[in-house]
Amino acid sequence: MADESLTRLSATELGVRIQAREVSPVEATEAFLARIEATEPTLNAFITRTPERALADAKQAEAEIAAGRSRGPLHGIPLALKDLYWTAGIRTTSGSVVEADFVPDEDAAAAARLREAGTVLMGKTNMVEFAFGGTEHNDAYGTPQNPWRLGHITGGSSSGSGAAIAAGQAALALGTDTGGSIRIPAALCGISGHKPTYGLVSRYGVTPLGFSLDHVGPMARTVEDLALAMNVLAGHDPRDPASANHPAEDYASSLGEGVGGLRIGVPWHYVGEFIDPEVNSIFRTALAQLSELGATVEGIEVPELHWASLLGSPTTASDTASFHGDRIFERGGDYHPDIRRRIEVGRFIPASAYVTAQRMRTRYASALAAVFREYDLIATPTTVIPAPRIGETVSEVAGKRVPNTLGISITGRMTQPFNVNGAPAVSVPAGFSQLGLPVGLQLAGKPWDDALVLRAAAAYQHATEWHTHRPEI
Amino acid sequence: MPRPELTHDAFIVLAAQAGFDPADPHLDDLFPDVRSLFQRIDMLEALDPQGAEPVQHFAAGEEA
Repeated sequence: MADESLTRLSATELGVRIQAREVSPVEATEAFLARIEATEPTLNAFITRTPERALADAKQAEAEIAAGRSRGPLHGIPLALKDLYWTAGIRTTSGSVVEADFVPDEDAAAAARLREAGTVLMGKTNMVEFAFGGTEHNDAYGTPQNPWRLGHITGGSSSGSGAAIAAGQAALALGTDTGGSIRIPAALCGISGHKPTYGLVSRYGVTPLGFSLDHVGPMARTVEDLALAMNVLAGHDPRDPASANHPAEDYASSLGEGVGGLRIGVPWHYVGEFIDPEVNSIFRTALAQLSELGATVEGIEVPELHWASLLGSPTTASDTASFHGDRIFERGGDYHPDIRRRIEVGRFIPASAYVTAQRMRTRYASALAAVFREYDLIATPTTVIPAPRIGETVSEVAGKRVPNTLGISITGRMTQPFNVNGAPAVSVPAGFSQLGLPVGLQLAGKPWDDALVLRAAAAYQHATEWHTHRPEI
Repeated sequence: MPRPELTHDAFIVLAAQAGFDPADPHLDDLFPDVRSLFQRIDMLEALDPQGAEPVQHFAAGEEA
């Protein structure tokens, strides 16, 4: 009988037990497969499950570890990949009927690195079609359910990855983030997620949304897990035109150094415009805890944050219209109507407006760089509302009724600003609403300060216990 | 200067130029989205990019 308690461990904890040979990779994989079997009809976190591959990977890991050939702390760890990472011989749908029959002949760079590190592939996770949205359902493959409260969204676009980690269906997952698609589902599902600096992790073999805004990154229970994944994922890849030749770092080694002496800026003028009172209260408590841990927390003025949507959205729409090309005409009826219109809109953006957006991104990045000369981190809530109900098109935020159907207009309000300048940003669990829905804290740093961002998030996580809660599903 | 609000007739002309079939009834669904887009572009173009240049990713390649 599978040991369900294994599915409640973090990837780090499970890895330690596997390395100590207290738990075998096969035993762990069987426990996660049983958990998937028990919860999946309800959660719908996966588009494609790969149990045979998982058991084969686990047996190989078991044999290697028994022979003294450990591949490191992720060896034997159950992994879920968002279904836009190419996987050799396994279909990669990008959440769309349009790509339902696409079977790549090679792995995405990030998937290959994690395979090389000895992870065990459990399957490909559900997502918003072509990753173009932060909230919506998926008609083609069914809408993932939030494990904390069925009937509520997981957040997107890496929706299945968020649900899978929260529910113990995998110990580690990959998402992608163009306007918040790692951090939003991480926050709404009560897990941790990291959007690395643009260029730090290869996008090769990942179906694109916005070429200059897409980020590849990990989702997991804890910041320690994220750091272990980053140690594997980060690195130059000449096949990705945006990949940087950044020196290798150990993202896990400084996690215990705390936040003492760090300066954290809070853009209250931006955060306070639309925020649910419960989220606001949880966020303020988190800031007080960071302050108690030795950080200096101060209000800052960054008026340029209001540009983020104006600059990011036309960039994404233009990029994706270019990527889909004439397919949007030839197979328009196969796209979800909302996604189809979002892609089509990109064909109407004047070239001059696109270039203006790119010019203003330069100015925007300079403005944020100036902030980061004074402050080590910027803190915000990850989302301004907890997870709305599935199908809810309008949310009430602090007495104002605001649409939440425009992809990331509301849910991505706090996250998109750090896609536009390519800065690292992490989301960690910070509390729960009265309905029992998770709320996330976001910490962002200057480009290439991923280790510092993770270190601060780890300090917060070590001082709190929100990441240890598990949904009852 | 803000552009005048997009009329349906003007939209159909633009749509044809963008590759759409002007007789496709789906365009009626798309029209509000494009009108909203143009309002957002007005806001974008109200920003002053003077002196700023896009980050250049283009590289001429290696010398032969």
